[in-house]
Amino acid sequence: MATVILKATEKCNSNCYYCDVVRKANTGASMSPRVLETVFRRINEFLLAHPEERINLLWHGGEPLLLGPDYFEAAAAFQQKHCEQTQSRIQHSLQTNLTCFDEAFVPVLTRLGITAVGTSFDPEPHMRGPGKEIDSVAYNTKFLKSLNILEKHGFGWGMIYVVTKKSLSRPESIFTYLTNLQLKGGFNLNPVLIYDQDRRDVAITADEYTEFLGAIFPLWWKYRHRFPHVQPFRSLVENIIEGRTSLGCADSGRCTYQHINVAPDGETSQCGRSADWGLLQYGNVEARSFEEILHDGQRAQLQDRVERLPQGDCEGCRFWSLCHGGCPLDAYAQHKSFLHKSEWCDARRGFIEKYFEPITGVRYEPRV
Amino acid sequence: MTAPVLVCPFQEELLARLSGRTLVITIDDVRDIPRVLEKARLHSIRVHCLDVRTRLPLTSLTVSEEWRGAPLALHVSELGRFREVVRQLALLKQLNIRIYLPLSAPAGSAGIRILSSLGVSTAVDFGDAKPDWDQAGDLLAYALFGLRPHAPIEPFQFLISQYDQHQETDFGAVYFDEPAKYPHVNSDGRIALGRREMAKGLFFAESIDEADSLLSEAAERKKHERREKFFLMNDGCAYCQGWRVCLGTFAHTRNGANGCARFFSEVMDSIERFRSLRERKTELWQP
Repeated sequence: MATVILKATEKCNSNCYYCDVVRKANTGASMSPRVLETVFRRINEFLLAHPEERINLLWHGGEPLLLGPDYFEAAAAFQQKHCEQTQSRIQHSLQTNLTCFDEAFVPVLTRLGITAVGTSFDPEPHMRGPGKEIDSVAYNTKFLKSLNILEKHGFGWGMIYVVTKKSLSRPESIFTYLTNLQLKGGFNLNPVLIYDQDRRDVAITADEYTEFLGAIFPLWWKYRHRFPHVQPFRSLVENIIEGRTSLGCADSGRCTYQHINVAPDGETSQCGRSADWGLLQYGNVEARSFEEILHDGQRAQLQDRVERLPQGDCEGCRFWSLCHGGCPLDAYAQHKSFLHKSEWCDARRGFIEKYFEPITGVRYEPRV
Repeated sequence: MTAPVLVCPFQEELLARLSGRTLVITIDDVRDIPRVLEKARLHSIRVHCLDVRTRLPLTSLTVSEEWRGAPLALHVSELGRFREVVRQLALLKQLNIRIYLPLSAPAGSAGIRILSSLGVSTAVDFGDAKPDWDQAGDLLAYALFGLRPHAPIEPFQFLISQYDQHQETDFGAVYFDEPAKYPHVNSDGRIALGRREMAKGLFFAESIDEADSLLSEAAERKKHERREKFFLMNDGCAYCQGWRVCLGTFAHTRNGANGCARFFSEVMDSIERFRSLRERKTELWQP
């Protein structure tokens, strides 16, 4: 399934401590109805040409809900108009901070087939919130109220918790808090990603991330029946113990020909992060079809990376099939080249060797 | 949705207004039991329970034949002399009664165990002060793993049946303190979500009829307010492993890892172990 990351707006009402969208020169632009309509025409064109394909349309930003329910109504209308034969193969998903979510969004999100939303949360004060002061009380209050609305209408939700330097002093407490908020553990513990300078002193090293996960893992392992869906733990169990292949975009080594990021002006890029960082630009949806964008020549360097790393940075690594060198953008952030593994590979390997394998008693052996 | 059970004080005029309803009627003197039952019958009240809150030891009360058939939640101050209990035991065991004993009473935990082992249903009254969590932990172990037959000890029996590892489990119903199930009515007929709200004069409805339409939303709102209250703090119950069964009920007594946190964490561990043992069907090598 191809994923179209629709950055329908770069506006955001939060000034999260670690956010790249805030930090980079941000135009605050929103996608015009004309570009939005083009996106749906392109989706239809692609799906008609590929009857076996599906498209995941991920609403992203900025904060997409700032666009208001009418904007989503317009999207639904464009889909109806242009994708009559293909709309059953379009799956919408939404990444939102939930702070402007209200009852008015419920009908249109339902109409778009959205049954669950992805969000982000941080219980630490002054990490997420509006204004210079990063008013986390305002943010978190609104967030919790929105959860009430989501749950009332039967929407599922999952969240990302970004591990920063501020998280390191109390991993177990933060973990317990998150499992109390999302009782089945539907959350990801992601390291903070810094492209260039760590202006706000939040960056963590791979070792610190390893130790953060390592402090939590015994608790998760003991009680994983209560909150099974905690990443990256669940995914490691699936891949290492249950013998299933279940990897996210950063680890699958398969993002090359699957992702398109569409910016508000219709400019496309590999993914949200490459767009934020001005890398892997593939032209405008007004001028190019999704077929052309998905096979842009620049993508070959990502495929080349997957083929070359096992003879390079990743030579002899028994965890290759678990991470494929990690996210190419992470590698670029550190080395200004895609042909390296991500620094987070060390965190993963460290975590598996130091914590996962000894605690679970299962040693990872790659399948031949 | 099941119709809520209203918790109200015993006042004949109020019973008349609540005719046809299912009630928990609160009284403070066991001698009123027959009279209250009679008045309830008169006004076509379905008695869910008589919530009798005495401040006396169990053994100072005279268990009466007239209590037969009455659903009773009897709060006593302590067990009292064991030989007195034994003297009333035969009748006590025939009653539809649950006896609430304070953990803080002299030999409170022992009293609960004794009554339970004699076949009388009991409940732990945690009280408003800081409970002795070690004693509560011992009772928990006895309630779940005691090998001798014994009557249920609440709230553990409730939790054994209701605890869901993926959900919040509120055991307040054992104490008629669950808004959606047990709204409280004051003598004027105004409705509050619970005992605490009533004491503070916080009413969500001015009449029973109004309550019928507002209860579900008000109860939901209270749940949301609870989450907002605890999850906006930078410390406290939202960071506690016991949250999903305690839900901040003992926030006022919170004494960290050695107190309520450890106890409620133990509650969940014990119930999961209990269920796992119950499901394990190991057959001895020689039947």
